[in-house]
Amino acid sequence: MKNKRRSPRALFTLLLSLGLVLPIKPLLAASLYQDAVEQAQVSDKVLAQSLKQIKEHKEFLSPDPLSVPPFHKRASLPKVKTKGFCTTCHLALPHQKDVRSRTFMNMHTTYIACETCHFRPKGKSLNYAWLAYEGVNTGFPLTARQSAQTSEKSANSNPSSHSSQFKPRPPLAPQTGARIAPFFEGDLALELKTSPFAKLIEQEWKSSDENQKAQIKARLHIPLKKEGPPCTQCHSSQHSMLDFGFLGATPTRQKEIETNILVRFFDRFKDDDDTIRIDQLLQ
Amino acid sequence: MQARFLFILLCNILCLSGFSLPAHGIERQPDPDGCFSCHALEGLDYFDTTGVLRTASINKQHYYSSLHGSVPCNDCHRKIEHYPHKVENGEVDCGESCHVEEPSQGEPYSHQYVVKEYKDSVHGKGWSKGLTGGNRLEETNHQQDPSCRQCHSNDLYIDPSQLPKFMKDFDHVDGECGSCHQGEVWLGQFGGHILRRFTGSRWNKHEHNKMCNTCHADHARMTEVVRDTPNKDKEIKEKADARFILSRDSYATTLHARLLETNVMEGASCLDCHATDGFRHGILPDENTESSTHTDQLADTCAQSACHAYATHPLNKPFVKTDLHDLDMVSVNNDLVPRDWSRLESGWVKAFIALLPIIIILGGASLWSRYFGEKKKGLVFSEIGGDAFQENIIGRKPKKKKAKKKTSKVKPAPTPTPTPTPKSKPDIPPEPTEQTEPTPTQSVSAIHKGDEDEK
Repeated sequence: MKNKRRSPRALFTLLLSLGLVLPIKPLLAASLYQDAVEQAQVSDKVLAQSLKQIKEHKEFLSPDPLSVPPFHKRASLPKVKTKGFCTTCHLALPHQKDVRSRTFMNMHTTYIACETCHFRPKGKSLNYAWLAYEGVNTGFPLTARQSAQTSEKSANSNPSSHSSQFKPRPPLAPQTGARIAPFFEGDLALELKTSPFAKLIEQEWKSSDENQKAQIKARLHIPLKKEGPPCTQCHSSQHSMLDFGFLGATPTRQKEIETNILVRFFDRFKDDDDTIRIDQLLQ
Repeated sequence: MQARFLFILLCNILCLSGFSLPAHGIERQPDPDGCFSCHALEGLDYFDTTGVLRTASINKQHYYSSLHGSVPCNDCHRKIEHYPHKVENGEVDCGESCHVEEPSQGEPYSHQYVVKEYKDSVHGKGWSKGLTGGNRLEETNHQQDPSCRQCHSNDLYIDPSQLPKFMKDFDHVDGECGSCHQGEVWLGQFGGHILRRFTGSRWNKHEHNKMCNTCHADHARMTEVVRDTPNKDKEIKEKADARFILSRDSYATTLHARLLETNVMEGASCLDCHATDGFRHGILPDENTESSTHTDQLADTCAQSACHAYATHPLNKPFVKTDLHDLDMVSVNNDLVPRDWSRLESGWVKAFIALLPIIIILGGASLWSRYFGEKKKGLVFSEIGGDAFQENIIGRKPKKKKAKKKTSKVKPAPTPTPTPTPKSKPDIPPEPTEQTEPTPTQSVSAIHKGDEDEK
């Protein structure tokens, strides 16, 4: 009987094939988003569209500052760069195309994580809490007092907005740079720019050709939704996606958010090309 | 009769009460269209298609405290009626009238007179209308003439630096004027206007110059300027010369500029000479006879505000010929200076040309005599300088080379017969044998030695 011994090269090829077919999870617990990416099935149509976008992509070069000063004094929030995974590729002000909503959407990026709106997996109950990106690698640096406040707020919060099965992540007080982010079963549901998964993707991207990049891009975006939720999903007193009480809003502020006049104004737009007279804003 | 008396009495009471009641203005609403419902929100930012960061957020508090704080948005952005706004609907015409009343006449306030003056000026091709947030980009492309917004933005009504004076004036208006004119509205509408007049000019001379230098100190930008120079009946377009390009540099060397530099406000700013009257926007080319810097107008310009009142006197005519943009005062290291042939008209150059033959004759003669002339012997320069000075005045030893030459050429003198030195004078140092004169150090040491001998 001939003794068949597998050569080391064949063994390496087998392992590599298995690695591609069955992605090995990192030792650290994978986030819900990472799980979704790894399970994503890329169709030919999506892949073709992704490839087209990559080919048509132009580097965004910011021109020199304008020589003419702005006439009005601006009121802009400080631009605090997040360590969110999305900003590896996307700009800090990612919404550009929709003239009607881009400024308002960009305004929300200063206190809402991208995944809060664009990562809403079906059948999963997510909780939303403040995330300070700076301290996330070592957990939330909460003081005892903050923890006590948090548990009190948790007790008073709307139970419909988050699962009672899991203890929700305690919220941080809103601070510069912090954003409302999704959590699943008490763990962060999104990826950070500094996470091993993000670094792996970044390395893959750098060493890939256009077709491979299209594959990566498609896989990363399949779990996400292009359109965010309608304004009323959060700006509503009933069945709001976010529990503002739990997030630390005062009753007055909570009411302001829920009954925002601009939300009602935007709710009147039916088609993309609709224009509305401004005098109806105050009606 | 009684009814008639009562009627007259009632009329008198009403009239008197009318006179005695404080004067009230009409309250105004600065945001009747609710624009700040959106624009007061912070963070309404986006990148436009060209990559420019745009902001739709306006600092509401700043706006209400600004020059246009009482002007509703729609007074300037007249065509904006719908959302989303079209860029072209946001166009602003600075010459339009707005709904604010000019307090003294009660007419709608407008910048139209300023705009007219500006349009007739050298900068008149700049934009005064059609201004939007979107087309600010177009003004970066080396546009020659500045638009209104290049120099003006919606600044605070009272500049923070003027606040101390404002507070003092405010007390006056509130106390003196307020005895008759009462109410927040009056204070806001009329009192504010009067206060601005009390507080004085918004910009000082430094700020005027700074504004002009935004463009005029930029040599590269000024090099691209094409000037419309009125010449008799027609206008000639010509590239800016070095005098124009370096106008800021030449001005900086004048006493006018240097006084301002040291915070002495008696110095003259750019506008003090180039836009003397009106709304101070009517800068005209020097060649224009109506220009304050035209040769015929210079005496009046210099004499304005009693700066140089004597300038108008016929005997002082040469005074106004003082060149305040003299290229000869600009650093010669500047690349632009040598290229300009107009410098040949300079007085310095003329003087040099006049003296050039003399320089050539004297210089040439000197060189000729140096190399080809007959060498005269016997000129003892050392008698009036050099060795004679060293030997007689300083007491220094002459140079050895000369001494050697002398010793080699001159026959050695016969050795004098030694004479016995009298023993009764031991303090006299012995005659030097090798050196004719002692060096200062040697003399001193000799004296000390004599002292020791004395001891």
